[in-house]
Amino acid sequence: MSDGRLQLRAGTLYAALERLESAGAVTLDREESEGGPPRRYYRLTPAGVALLEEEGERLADNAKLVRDGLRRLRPA
Amino acid sequence: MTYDALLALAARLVAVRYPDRADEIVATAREAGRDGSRWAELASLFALALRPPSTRSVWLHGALLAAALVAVAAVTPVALIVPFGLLILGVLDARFAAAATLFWLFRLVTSDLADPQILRWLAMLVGVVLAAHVTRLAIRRAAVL
Repeated sequence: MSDGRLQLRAGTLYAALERLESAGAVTLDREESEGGPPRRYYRLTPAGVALLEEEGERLADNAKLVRDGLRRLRPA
Repeated sequence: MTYDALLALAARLVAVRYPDRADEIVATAREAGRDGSRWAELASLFALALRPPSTRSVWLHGALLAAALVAVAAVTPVALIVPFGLLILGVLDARFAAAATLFWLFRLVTSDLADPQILRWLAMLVGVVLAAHVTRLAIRRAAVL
């Protein structure tokens, strides 16, 4: 999904999943098990999509702030 | 203790906290650790299993520990140095810092104001503020684990 740019430790991943689930941002989509431990797949809920959009905008605003600041620092 | 023994211990702790998905979590950590980061994955399992479930539980566990410490301190003054150790451990786990905060707060509010040792009173006040700050930071860090 992130093309390997974001790598989370298992503990970090499941802690985040727990928080997102309790916030209603993700929900269990399906469970698969092919001889090994169960593998769960989650999907975003509408509230999760809204949260993601909001977070994306916040990050874009922050990035714009940094770009504007750098532009002012550079000599014309 | 070998890596496998520690992993088995972490798996047991994870199973207590997440009985329905422990197998999946441990398998994920094992799989992710194949790239050479198995110790980091192991540490993340311990952090996941031992992290406080809520801010309220941080203060609740801290209060229980502080109460035990107050009882011990009544018997032996050696216990008075324990909160310093708790404060250091509190950097890793907010419950220990909360215990140090509440212990020093208790000592502060129950201290004799007529006591001429104002420096001791001030030291306890600094201890409460510092421990509360460490608790807040540790809670915040646990929230973004």
